[in-house]
Amino acid sequence: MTDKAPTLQEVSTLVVEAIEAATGFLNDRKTYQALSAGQDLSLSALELDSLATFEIIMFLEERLGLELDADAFGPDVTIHGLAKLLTSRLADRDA
Amino acid sequence: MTSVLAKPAPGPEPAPKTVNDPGQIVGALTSSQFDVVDYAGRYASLARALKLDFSHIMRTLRYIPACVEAAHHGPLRRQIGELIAERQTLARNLTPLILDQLLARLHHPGAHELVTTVLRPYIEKTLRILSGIELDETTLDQALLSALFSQGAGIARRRRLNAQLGTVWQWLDQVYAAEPESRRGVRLALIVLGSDATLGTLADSLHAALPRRRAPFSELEFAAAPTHTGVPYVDRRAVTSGTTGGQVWAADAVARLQLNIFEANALADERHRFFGAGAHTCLGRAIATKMWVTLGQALRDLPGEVEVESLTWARSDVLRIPQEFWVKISHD
Repeated sequence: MTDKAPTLQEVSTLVVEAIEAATGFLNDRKTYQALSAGQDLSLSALELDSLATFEIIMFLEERLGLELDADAFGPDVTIHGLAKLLTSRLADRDA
Repeated sequence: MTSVLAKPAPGPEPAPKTVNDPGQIVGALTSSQFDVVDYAGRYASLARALKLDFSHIMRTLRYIPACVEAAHHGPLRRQIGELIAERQTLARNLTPLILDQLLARLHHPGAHELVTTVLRPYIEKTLRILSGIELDETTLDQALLSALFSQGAGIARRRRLNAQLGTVWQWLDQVYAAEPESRRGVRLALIVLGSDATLGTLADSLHAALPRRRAPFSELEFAAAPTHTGVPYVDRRAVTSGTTGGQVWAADAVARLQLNIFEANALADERHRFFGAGAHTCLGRAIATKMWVTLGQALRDLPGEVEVESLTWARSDVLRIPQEFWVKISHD
């Protein structure tokens, strides 16, 4: 990341990278196709265990310089929703 | 030293089952069927899997009674009890003086925020006397401590807590070098157990006691002990399968015992079961009660009238931790 605040699109890409690093979820053809087609994906559908969740948290915290708790991964949260939350927190921090 | 820590449960930890029945709660707290949950094991697993250093957190957890298995629990509680007993007379004598200083600002009319100006410093100064730890000489942010028991705290917060506990241990190892390790550990345990739990207990009880419409400080009535708890629940793990309080528990099941249900009880003795029962009764109960009584007496001596404006809570999955508590004081 550069010093400039990342855009929502950049943060969304980072969230996907974080989930991929923790779970390898892009190896699933349907998931890959859905994301390639611009579809959003619920995090609960990924059935993340607590270790994967913490791997994702650590990845995002280190890349974005934010503190993030596991409650950001609630049952209704999607990849886009998480990216929006992070973008909003970055904006608040930099305001 | 890891042998004193609660044994890790095999496989993934089951989701806790909430228990709201008073009899079942007391039964689980006093039954040998239940033991503490494995907070240290959670940290060990996380550290291993993500190649992280939580060594200062792990060292701290060895001295928290709620984190060590039953066989080591009693001796550790005794050491903490002894430390409190040695220092509590000094603490009791000094708390009125501490409050005099902290409440001086409340002699002036206007809006006042009580968490940062009164409650947290009151608790911090009292715990400093009890523990013998000069917190000013460390980087410890007490608001971070609940992450020790949280399942949801992120990695950055845990790393920050680990680093800060490292500065406390460094200070303890220098200043109390002649003491056994366990004595240094129980000093830190007092800070860990007393900070946020007491803050939530005093803030919530004070919020209930202060008027919603302005009334003279001198007419306020305070219960003889805190009416609310900052520790809404505790988790306990069934070490064997069996029945406790009429409820069948499988081995390794986790019971979430809702201590805050006792707040609603009209009888003070029943209400104070939120301090726990049996071997896990809160060691700080007497000192927290004394702090509450002293606070009430000092507030009643203030001039003018007071009304509650707002109380907000910090995000925490383990404790009720007040963020801001605003009151308005009037003198006309």
